Amino acid sequence: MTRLLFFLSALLFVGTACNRQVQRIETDTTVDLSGRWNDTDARLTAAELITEIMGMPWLERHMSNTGKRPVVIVGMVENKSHEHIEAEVFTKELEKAFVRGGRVRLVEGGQKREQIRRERADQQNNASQSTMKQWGLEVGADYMLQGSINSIMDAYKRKKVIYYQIDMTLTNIETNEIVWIGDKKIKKFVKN
Amino acid sequence: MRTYFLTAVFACCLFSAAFAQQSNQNPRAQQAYEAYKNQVNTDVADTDHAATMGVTIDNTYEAYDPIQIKEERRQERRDFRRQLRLERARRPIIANPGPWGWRNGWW
Repeated sequence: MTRLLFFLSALLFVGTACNRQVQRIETDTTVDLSGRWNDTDARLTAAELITEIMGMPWLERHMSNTGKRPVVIVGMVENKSHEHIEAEVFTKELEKAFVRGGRVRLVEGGQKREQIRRERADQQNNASQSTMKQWGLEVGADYMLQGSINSIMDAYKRKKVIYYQIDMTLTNIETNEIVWIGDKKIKKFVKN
Repeated sequence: MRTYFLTAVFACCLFSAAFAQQSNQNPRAQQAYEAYKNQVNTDVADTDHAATMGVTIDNTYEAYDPIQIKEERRQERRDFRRQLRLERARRPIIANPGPWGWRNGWW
């Protein structure tokens, strides 16, 4: 009898412990749970922006005018929507497209650039003379990529319509001329 | 002779192109740069500039969402009841009403 009770309680424990299920799914699978901004939106945004920025005439124009590949630096993306949206998810995809495609050169900016400069400064004291890197040889960017995220939400009772608009611009640093504007619009209907 | 002539023509073209580009620049460019540099505190500006590069700046707003508002109110009520229970457990005499309502022990 005691054994039976022990067996039953063990079975109950195992049964309740296995409620959680975790499974690996493909990263391009669309899973919408709450209706908020998710990985699918970021992926669609990245795909569209990459297609637009690499296919527009600014690239050819720069190459024909200067005979060199353009150098781009990624600036700020302002999130003016009603949700927290991390823009790095899709700006990194753009950066990857630049580097892997080889038609656009990319330079580091922000905190990472500061870290590189610190390392270069450290090399001036600690590295051997033959391997020490020089100051003043950084590549100056021709263009800066900046963007903004806007959203509009309309809700009534249990229904919601959410509209996101992601705008990215590429501006000539010397002349302030905007040479490319790309956007991605996403509209969702959510029924709770 | 012809080679010298062509070289001279090429040099003239190059010089004029370079000069044309230079002449198009605003003559007060250096002055503008100095004014801009003095306008901002350099150390602070450098830090700010680095902090805004390649990042997302959150400037979000709160959208009207009836379901979310309802849920927030529900949560507020839960928190209030929880606080009340804790307060009653902590100070049973003061926080609990007696059979004749609230009293402070003076009458």
